[in-house]
Amino acid sequence: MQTVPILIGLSLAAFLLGHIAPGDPAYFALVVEGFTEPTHAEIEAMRIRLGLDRPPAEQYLQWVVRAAHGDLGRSFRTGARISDEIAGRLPVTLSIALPALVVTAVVGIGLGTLAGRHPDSIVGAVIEAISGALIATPGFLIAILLVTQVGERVSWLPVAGIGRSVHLFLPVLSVSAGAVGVTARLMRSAVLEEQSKRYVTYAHSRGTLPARVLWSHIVPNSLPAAVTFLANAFAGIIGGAVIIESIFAIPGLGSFAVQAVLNRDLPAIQAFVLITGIAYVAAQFCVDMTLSVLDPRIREAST
Amino acid sequence: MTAKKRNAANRLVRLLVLGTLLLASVARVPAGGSVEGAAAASVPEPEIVLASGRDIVPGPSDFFFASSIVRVWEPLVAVDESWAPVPGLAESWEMSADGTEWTFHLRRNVIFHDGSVFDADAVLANFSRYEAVGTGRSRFYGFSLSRFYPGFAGIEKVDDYTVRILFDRASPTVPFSMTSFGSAMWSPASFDEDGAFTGIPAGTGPFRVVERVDDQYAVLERSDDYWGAPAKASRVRIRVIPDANTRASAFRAEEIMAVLDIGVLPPVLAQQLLEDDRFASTVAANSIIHYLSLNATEYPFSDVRMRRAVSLAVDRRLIADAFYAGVPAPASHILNHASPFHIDLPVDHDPETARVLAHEVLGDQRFQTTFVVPAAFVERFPYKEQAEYVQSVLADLGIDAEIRLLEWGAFREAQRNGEYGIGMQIQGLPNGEPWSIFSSFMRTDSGQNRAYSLGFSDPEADRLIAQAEQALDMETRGNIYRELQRISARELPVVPLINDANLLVHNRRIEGYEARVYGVTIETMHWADR
Repeated sequence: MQTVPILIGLSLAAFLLGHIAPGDPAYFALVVEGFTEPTHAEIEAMRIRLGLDRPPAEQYLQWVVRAAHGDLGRSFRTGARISDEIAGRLPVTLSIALPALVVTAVVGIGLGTLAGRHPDSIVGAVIEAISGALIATPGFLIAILLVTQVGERVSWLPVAGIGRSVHLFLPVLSVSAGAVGVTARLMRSAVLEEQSKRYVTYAHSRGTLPARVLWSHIVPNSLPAAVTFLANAFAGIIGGAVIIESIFAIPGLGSFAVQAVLNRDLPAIQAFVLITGIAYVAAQFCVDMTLSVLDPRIREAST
Repeated sequence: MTAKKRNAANRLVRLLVLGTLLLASVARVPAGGSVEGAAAASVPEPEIVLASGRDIVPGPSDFFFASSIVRVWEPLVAVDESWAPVPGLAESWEMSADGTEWTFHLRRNVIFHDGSVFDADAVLANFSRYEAVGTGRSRFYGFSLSRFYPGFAGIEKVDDYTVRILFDRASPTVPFSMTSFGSAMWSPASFDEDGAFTGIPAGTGPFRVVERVDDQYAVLERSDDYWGAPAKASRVRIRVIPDANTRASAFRAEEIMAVLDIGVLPPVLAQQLLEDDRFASTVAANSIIHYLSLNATEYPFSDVRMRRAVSLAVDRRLIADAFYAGVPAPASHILNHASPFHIDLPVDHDPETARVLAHEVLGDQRFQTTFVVPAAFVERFPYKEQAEYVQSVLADLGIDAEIRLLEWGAFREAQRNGEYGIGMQIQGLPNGEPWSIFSSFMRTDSGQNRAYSLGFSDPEADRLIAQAEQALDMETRGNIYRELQRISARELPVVPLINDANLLVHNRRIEGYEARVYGVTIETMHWADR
């Protein structure tokens, strides 16, 4: 139930920021930079058409009431239904975000566990170095390298666009690279910490198979930090993969948001904030559920 | 729990194997074909894939549905390469003696892509749409009935192939404002009574849109019923690739055969591509002028000597050569050279005189100011380098300009409030008739003059602009426009830098691809081996 006030707060903040920011939305609905400069009369007429002549409080309340009924309004810039725009773009974003989440979880948790298990070996050192490099390398740089080397030089994969599964490889790798590094680091630290606990020593002393100690005790108890990070990273991809979207020509939610902000498209900005807010809240909910499954203490505390 | 863990481990292994197999199974895309092109290689003629930086077929939300450059719709009045009005769907036209009526004789045997006939009723329906919409939103040219047809008083059908447009005042320049985006014709069945498109609309052009996805691609097919010479390519796909470097990569990977649209390939990238023998270039002047706006509502730019100093100090040839691959032409006044009324005036570069003039205004003082640059243009034009060059020139004159990259809202706000000293921006020609350009930049009480804080006021310019508005014959107007260009070069409402040009690159595997003043020859483009 905390979700509703959070979303209202977010949308109110977006609304206020949109109104405070310099630039008139009615002007931006009409201008074609360098080509069409709207007249004062045209701007005034558009302001009335967009409802910007009404008091801000009334505008906001009207938006809230409509949004509560599932109507996110129409774009100031194009006049198109925002729900249609988002319905077209959300699946595109999810087609990158979901595989990226799987890749990050599998590779990050796998590498982190391996590194935590063998902290003083060459394997551990290599994983540590790789994860450090992945964290330190910005996603856009990895994207550019992948485009120029894999897409352009050897032509194994298309450099840009969406539509077929092969289009997903490079963006998914670019989006997940940094997150893999962080997940591996988090997992390694957690595994190292868990391994030093007394229950692990006790399990070993009872003669429990090392693999079983690892998979049944150490790994589940090491997951919370990584799971929390993964959920937030996933929500971040939903709304924030703007540069990756631009490089790979992916018309997802990120580019939609940038266009909305640049054009002072207030309904589109508010809708975007609402969607990303829901994504974060949903991600947090999934984290809570996952942790309660993983850790009986959380489950018991919540009952 | 153990069984679950084992299952999880098995799933992990399966996923990894599957991933490896998928990667291994991705065959190298055959050289010479895009992904789409490769997929279509087995059909008689593969589609030609082009790329643009923005969606140039933006669909029903745009008043024009598609840019004119994809040749899906046609106007009543077209333009030639000198930006002068030439017959489009109207074969000829004449003005009444008092200039309040224009009669258009329509082309016969033209049919829309939906099979309906283009005639006077179709024209009337389109004008009803213009009236219903009034001000139409578009990312190409904002449509406004009052701007495209000032004094519009109605339209009537004379016969099946003749229409008469009525005005409440003498309107001698109507054919100019009707060019291209000013008189786009769609099948009346394509829009509802509010003027909104009901699906993919039917035009009369050599291509028709058969498929499109927002911000991803549009597919064009040749219209076999086209009234003129049919398009040579049977199918064209236009992909949207927002990032310029990715477009260059797509070129090298041969995923795309060419690019179209203004500013689609920064000159530096074009030059890099042209080092590869697979690619060729095509150049045409376009309708854009790059200029410096100076805040002449305040000292020191309120003094024309300071504006002249800036103009004389800037080496326009250097800008064109160093930042634009030598393609554009230096500009001496505000009217772009694509206009049929343009006259060439000398472009002076005289740093010595510039320093003297600046010293006369500034004395021994240095002047601190801000130099605002629209961040959005940095992606399309070499504005960072250009701004830094201008900054160095200004420093030589005694002006210390701090460069600020601003997004559009902040840029416009800074100009409106006069909170800037120098700005850098573009102006495109709305049509070949330059009255609106002169009126916007040189009329004392023009909205744009105020909105940009240009502070320009010249009684002679005001008089000539008012006189031109009343002039019924184009010769009189032409004389006035020539004089206004001389005033623009002398009094400098803005400091023009260069007349831009389209430098477009294409793969040599296609031919018949030429840059035009607005767009490309998409209709004559074809595979070189076919």
